[in-house]
Amino acid sequence: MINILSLVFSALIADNIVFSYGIGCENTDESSSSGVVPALKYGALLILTAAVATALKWVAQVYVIERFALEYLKVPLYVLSVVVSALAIRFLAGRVLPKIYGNLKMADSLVTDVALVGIIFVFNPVWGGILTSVLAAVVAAIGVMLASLIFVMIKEKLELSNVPRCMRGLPIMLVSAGIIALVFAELENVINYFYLH
Amino acid sequence: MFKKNPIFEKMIAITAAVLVTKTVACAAIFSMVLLMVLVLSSVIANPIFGGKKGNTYRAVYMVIAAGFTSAAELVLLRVFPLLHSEIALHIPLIVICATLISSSIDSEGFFRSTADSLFSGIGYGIALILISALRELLSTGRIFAFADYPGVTVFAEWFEPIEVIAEVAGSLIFVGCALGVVRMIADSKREADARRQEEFERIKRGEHETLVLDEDGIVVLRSTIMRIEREIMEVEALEQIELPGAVELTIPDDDIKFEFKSFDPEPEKEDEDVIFEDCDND
Repeated sequence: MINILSLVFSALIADNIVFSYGIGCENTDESSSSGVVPALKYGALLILTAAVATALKWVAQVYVIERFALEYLKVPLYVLSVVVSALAIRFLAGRVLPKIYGNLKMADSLVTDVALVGIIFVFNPVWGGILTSVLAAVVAAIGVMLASLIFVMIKEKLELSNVPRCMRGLPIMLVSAGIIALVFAELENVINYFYLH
Repeated sequence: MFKKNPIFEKMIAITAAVLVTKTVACAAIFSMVLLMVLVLSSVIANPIFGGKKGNTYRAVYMVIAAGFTSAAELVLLRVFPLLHSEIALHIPLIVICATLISSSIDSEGFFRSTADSLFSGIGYGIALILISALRELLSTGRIFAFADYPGVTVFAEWFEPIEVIAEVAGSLIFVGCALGVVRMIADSKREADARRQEEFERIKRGEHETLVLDEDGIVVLRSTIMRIEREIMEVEALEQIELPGAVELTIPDDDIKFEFKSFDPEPEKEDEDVIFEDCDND
């Protein structure tokens, strides 16, 4: 139980894909361009896709790579799991939830989503089975959704302030992400301090 | 390569610019592998899809790029293990960066799109190396660190390295500021070009205060044109005036003939010494 809690905590805050690893800033910026609801829709899609992709990845890792010692096929098989899951979720979004996802532009961008690739390649808990891996991926995707929501709030504040023209858009969002990454790093140290004491 | 640079203009695949630019060596090796994967994957994927860049293209391209990336990783591991150790953690990024760059190219035709892939990859590599050089200099005071080699010391001991730039947080801030600076320079150049073009349009319409286009299409000062026109008018006016006793110079068939007209309307008849009656200048 404690391991699961530490996994959840690390995926959300200590090892947040966006703020601790710097992966996926531009995608979260695009997804949060309209507001809270698009960020939540993007987060939901990402959670589903990460869960399916991680399950496929785990199967490929255990039953193909480790069984036949095909370590050099790790990158292609992981990428294949990402692609298959992204296309499957896109198909589902178009058939099951057309009213929510409309013209599927958000679902189309999942194939080349850097955050999704980061979740698949970075989060590899060696202990536990498929459920633990999927849980880790889901929590990591929730961390990306949290980052998107933070970007929405920052964007609302920045619209009211006098940002120089050259810094508008992605440059100022990267600077903001960097400052929040500093905060997250210190937060991790604070919580580790209380955890150890 | 520069006008449509993937990082500075299109602002795609920024994640690599944040993660890979810790050292120049890492950025250079990453760029070379990325360029190879980008070009080879484009050579295979473009004929299949004929220039159409949809969702299926991206999916297939990613798988092809993953194959080439895996092959490149194997080659690096066997032949250049030191180079592999520099970029081992960033291998998966090559796949996604190649896909993003290839999807952003909107040219049609096999050769054109492959050439665009090649030059986009080169431009991306140049941008990565520039960012990594500045980042390494500011974070360590040295440059070109590789494996056990600490690098060339550029700044003297008085320089206090800004170590936070080597971390992810500092890298995000640094890359954001770098994008802003480049955009500022590009915007000022673009505005200057737009102003120059608008001014030329005004000159062509004849609305400019001081400049006009002459007959040969060359931009000249309006005052120069007016002065030339005035001089032409003065010469024409002078030509129409007939002065008594003026020398008329005619040059028919390359012969110069002088005809002197007397200044007095009634010449003295007493003087029989006529000096000149007719003069032919041979």
